[in-house]
Amino acid sequence: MSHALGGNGSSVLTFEGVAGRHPGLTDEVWDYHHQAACVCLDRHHTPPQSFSVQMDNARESYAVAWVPADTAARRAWANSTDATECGAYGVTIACAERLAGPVVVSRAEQASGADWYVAPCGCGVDENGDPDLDALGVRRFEVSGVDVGPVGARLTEKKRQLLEGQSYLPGIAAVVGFERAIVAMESIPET
Amino acid sequence: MSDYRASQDLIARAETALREGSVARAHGFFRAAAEAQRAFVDRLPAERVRTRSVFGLSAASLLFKADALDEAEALVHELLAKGSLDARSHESLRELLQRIWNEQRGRAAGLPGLGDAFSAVLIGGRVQHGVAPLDVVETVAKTVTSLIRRMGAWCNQEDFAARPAPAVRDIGEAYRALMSEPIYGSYRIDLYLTQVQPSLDLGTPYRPSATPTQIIDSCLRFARLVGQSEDEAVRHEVPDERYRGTLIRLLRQLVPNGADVAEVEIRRPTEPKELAVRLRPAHREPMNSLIKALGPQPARKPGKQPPVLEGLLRAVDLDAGKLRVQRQEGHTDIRISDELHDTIGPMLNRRVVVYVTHGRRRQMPLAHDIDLARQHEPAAG
Repeated sequence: MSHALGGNGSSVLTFEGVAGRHPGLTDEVWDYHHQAACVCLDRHHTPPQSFSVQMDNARESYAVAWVPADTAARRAWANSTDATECGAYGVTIACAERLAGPVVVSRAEQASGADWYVAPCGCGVDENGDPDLDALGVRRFEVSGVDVGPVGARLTEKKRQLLEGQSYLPGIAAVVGFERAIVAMESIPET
Repeated sequence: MSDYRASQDLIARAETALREGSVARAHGFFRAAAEAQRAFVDRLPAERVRTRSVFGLSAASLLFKADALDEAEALVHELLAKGSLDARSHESLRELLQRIWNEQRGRAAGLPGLGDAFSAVLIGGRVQHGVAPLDVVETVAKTVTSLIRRMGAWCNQEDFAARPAPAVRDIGEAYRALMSEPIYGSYRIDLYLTQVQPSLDLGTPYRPSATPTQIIDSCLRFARLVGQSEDEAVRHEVPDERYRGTLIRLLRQLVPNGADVAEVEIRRPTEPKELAVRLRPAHREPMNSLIKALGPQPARKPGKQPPVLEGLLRAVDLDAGKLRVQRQEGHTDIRISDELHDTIGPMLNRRVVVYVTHGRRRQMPLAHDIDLARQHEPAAG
């Protein structure tokens, strides 16, 4: 991820090389979400686009840069709901890492949908590099995307989902507003 | 590559196959991913309870996604029997087991699958895990069935039928409704809508029936618009005012009173909670306004509010189109307009408020709206 300054003075955030820094992401998995993120960003913006990224009391502005999706990718992600969900994973994983440092240690299928787990860099994995969710510092990462419109209500829903969820782990609720160019994240303590 | 990382790549390949419409290939990848995750879980030391719990459930979910129901069931039983999982994963596994059983029963009954489903989740108030007030459960179950039936008729471009079909199980000729057992955790009712072979009507050109997915999509979309009080969008979604009025009233009937139930969440069981439409007591007044603004308008003098009768609904005769309300001063017989038939059933023997207009002398008053009396409900807003 580059740290160069964008045209408006904010630092540049790209999606290149992200998988290599996250033990829970393979290249194939990252490429899948990265492509969806590009399709969603293309709907409203041309790169680079300034994004406001906030988590708890930290707030930064990043010039998000991406390569516009080609026709095949747009066709593959024609289902808008799926694209927004997967694209949100791509954008939030990159933004959370840049702003606060957590990296993905695993993704697990639940009865419906997927749950992501993050931890500070170097934590949350065993000696084989596989996820160790019993380790200190592991948090759930609940992500959602809003194509058009405000993100506040969705963030409240995600926080509630974490508090009522099937896990005692602390968590981070994260919502991307693609049209509004905002990423809002909030920490939730252990329940 | 470790079993865990192999499973991640296989999941990504399965999801890509699904997006490309290759369901059989996706099933194969999901099954392989499940086997890899199971191998990962089997090698974990017993003390890593959380990791075992999360990925045990994950492996079983992947088998379900692979349409390997028997294997998924066996794995869930095995995980539950071993007992080395955290408490919340036990809950999730039981819920998954319920879904597996529902799917298996549907297939055993000769259905190609359970089709699509509509969930109503009761939250708060006097609702506990798997237990809820009987009258509320009965009202919600009947109302959801009526909502799907009416929306199905609308999606199939049928003329508005004044009297709903008497059959409870079948929704028209083309569908069958199957109710799940209450789902473990809060109180959730899943109503599965399955398409059965439609009988051919040789008198009219053949037109394919709307699929269960289309009908449930329409229900959820309409509910979302009504919940947001999007007047124009609601009108546009269902232009026929009789259908529209009936459907809004059915949604109003799902609005909780705050005391017995704090919130009713409606969604597909497979969809994340954040996509749910949430109905709370404060939605009642905006829905009343929608009904007034968008439903059929009763004939009355401009600016004059309709009389309101409150009492116990003692008798309903849908064939004759009338009902009887018992009040302190005696009973009153009332005619009912067509849009009210779907909502009256669960109100029998309960206190109701009826909005009427009076016609000529000696003629029974005509009810153009009826709702459960909500004397214990907190003020809207």
